[in-house]
Amino acid sequence: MRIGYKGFLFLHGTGRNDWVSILAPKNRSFFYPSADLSFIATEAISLLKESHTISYLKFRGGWSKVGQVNLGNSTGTTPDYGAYYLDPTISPNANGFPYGSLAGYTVDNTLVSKSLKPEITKGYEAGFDLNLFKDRFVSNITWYSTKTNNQTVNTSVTNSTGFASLRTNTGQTQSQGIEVTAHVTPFRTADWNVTVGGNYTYLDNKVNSISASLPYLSLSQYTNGAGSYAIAGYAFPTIQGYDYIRDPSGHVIVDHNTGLPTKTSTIVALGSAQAKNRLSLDASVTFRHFHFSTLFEYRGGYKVYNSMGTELDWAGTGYRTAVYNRKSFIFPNSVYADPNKAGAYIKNTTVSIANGNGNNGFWTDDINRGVTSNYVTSGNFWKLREVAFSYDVPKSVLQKTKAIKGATISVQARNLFVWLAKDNLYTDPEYSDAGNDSNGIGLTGLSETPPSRFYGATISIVF
Amino acid sequence: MKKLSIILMGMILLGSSCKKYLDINTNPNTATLTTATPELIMPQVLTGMANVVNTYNSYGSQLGGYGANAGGYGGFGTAISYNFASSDYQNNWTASYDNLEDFQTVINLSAPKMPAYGYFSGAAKIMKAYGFQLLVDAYNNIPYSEALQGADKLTPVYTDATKIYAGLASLLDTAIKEINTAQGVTNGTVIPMTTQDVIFKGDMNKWKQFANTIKLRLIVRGTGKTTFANTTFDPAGFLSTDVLINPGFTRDNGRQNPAWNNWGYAYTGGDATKSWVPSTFIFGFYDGHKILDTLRGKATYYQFPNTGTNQLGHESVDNPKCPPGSYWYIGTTRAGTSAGNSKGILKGPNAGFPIMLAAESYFLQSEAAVRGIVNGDAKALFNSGIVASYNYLYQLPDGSVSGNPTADVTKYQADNPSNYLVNFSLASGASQQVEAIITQKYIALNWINGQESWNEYRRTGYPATTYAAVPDPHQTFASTVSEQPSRPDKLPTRILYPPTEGSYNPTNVPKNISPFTSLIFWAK
Repeated sequence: MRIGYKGFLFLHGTGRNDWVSILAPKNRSFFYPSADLSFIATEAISLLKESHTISYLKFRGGWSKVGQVNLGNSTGTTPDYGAYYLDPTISPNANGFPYGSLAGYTVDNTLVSKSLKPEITKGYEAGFDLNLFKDRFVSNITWYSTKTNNQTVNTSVTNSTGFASLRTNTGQTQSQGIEVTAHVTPFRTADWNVTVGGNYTYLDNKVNSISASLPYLSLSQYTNGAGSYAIAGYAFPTIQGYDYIRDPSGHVIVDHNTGLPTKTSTIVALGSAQAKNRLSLDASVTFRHFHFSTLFEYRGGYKVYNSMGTELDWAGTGYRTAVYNRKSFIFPNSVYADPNKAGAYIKNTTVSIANGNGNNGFWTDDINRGVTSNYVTSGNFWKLREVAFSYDVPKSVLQKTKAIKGATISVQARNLFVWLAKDNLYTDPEYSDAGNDSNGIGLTGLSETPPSRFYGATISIVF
Repeated sequence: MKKLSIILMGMILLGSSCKKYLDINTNPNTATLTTATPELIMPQVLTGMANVVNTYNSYGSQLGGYGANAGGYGGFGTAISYNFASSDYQNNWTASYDNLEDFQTVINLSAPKMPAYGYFSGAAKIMKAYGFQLLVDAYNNIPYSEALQGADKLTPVYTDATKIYAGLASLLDTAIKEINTAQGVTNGTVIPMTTQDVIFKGDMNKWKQFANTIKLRLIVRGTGKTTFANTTFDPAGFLSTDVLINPGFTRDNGRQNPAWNNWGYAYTGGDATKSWVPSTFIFGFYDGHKILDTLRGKATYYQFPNTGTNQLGHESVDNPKCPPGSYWYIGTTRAGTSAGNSKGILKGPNAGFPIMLAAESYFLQSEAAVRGIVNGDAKALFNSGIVASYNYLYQLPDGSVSGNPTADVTKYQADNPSNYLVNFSLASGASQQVEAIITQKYIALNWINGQESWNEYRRTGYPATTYAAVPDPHQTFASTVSEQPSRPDKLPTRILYPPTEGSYNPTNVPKNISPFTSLIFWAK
């Protein structure tokens, strides 16, 4: 439904009800409406209409509710669209079966919660668009806040349940933030056009709650349990893994005799994997038929777990293994328990670890490689994403050929430079070991090839 | 009017059958639990247990001293340092619970249809007890009463190991009762296990013997540490034949005998794992260093007595390399595409997989007789155990015995005339008798059920080991680079809980478990 009033006030609304047959009958139907309102101030208020400074001003706001059923895959070679997922299946091909005519079945390892519901996201947003100086300055700002209930995730469960994974609804996640875009054109003449600007996004998302029977949900994890998780009260997603046992001020507690620390027995939260701040800066310059553009990007405020670090340390090629020259060393920033006073700790300046080497020594042992926090680094980066240069062949030249109406030659280079955080010794934090269809971001590993630069050239001809 | 009535009719028809047509969530593509029957699951789950025990055998054989690192391989890490990470041997846990879920499913499917499915339910309960004992002996406290309940119990609590042992003995009693009840039914409603029983082919008396023997093992291990409700045994008695799983193993992708597939040859004829060779310690029980056992040695090791052996932890360029097919395959045909049809430990891709040997049954009975748990002639049972071991090793994949076990055992005992580990009557006092029994059991289970040998060593301290400052490979099987700080035998005490437990069941998993000090409840 769309209503417009005098060309400056618009109201737009929708409503929709879905019945999805892949869920249980009582959960199948869900209704979701939305509405948004926009007010173009420069059309409505005559003072603004005649203003030389403000060329366009629009206020907007909206509220929406969206639902979907996230079950099964609709991509890949054999999409099943989530059909028949609610009934546990048995498979005929385990352990070499069938043997001749003897058939044998096994119960499959995925449980699907029978009371699976659709995901419902409710959100509102508000913002304004402001253009100044005859569109020489273009900007828009939007605040948004959304809450999603009953997100469907595939989470791992302990094998002692008899199964390996459970598809269920989670509690609630929320996301809020602000997006700002601004571009300014300082020069605009017949020959020159220079525009610089950027956009900035601030995102704060959090898991408000998960169900009572699960402490957290794993989105993507390694065999030792470290990985990307949804944890109630933390950002979505958060990296969880093993850490050293520390004293209340954060120093690592070591044994008074061996100098060795202890690994925690369960996983702990190690940092948010969701970038809080994203900034991109772009510039474009046009001179007659030449055009040049460039794009920088910054992302910050998050962490990444570099699982390749464990393999580098095992092989002895990791930078960390050589920091103490492979000799006996004192664990940095460590304390040991005061034998005379319970609960007190003494700074460790004397007790060193005997074997500072690999191959049965510290660096290859689980006390180093199994401690996830050793390889969690800041994921902040600056990237020079793209530089492009193009030339439009002028019509005067083209008229000589009867057929060609237009031609453009351009060269571009992508992913030219990456500047990483100081503690990130490993790789591009934009990689994701979980794959491109998983929510479990914040993990990189050995499966990704080192980052590459791309160079290309394009010729386009219009006949 | 006619048009209207047609429309009305259409709407009525749609309305009535709408619900049925829209109820389309029964899966036509795959079988589901609602269509499952015990007959469909039983063959697979029994075969699955062969793979589970194969995993445990590798773990027990490596920790319990049957194997050592081979030449040409490095990076043994925790296998020789014993400083286990939670991810080491974690497949024991995963494979066990996955397999137990299928047994539980057979039990659940049979429960409403008793006594018709009494045989299936009884056999599944026996295997469930067997499977849980494997877990308890490796991990001590584990989820038991709240396990295998799927979404109803996503974070099961851990049950005390002593209570689980008592519970497993009761479970075996229930299983035997169900089988007896079903055997007493005369109106033909009981469904027999035929081809689905890939172990005993439906011979329920053998199942009862198997149940009795597992219960005997529980009692022998647990007496003094826990109380059992009922310590009597069904009149069916104990096993006198090996328990072999064979659904029709053959040299085909994913269908080979699991031990052959692991250590012998791949189905393509290519090499299997070649990073392990026999340990000098176990070899000393055949080549005369500790015991002279020529005939069984020849039936166990390739190129005996010139088999390559090593001391665990000793890494050097001179270490013997593992030949294709490994030292545990004695056949003369070394071409992978036709190897097999042999006596010994790795008999061939089509051989049955043993999950309990008759030898183990006899040795359990012998020790129980020495300790007064059952009545019996300890010496006769001891000798029967050794004969049963020779008998198993002399069997070809088709089950026929090539050689004369009884006569060869007589020669064996004559070759070691003053050794009480071979001649039971020379053992003076209960502790030497038990040492003889456990040491012979150690030899009998060589690279077959290594997990049981590792369990028995931790329970009894036999075979006896001494770890000197420079460890002698004949006196100990512990690694030369063991990081065990406190125990004099320099061996680990247990493996750790898998990392999935610390991740997905963090409130229940026991904390502060050490591979060097935490004991299984029956261990010394």
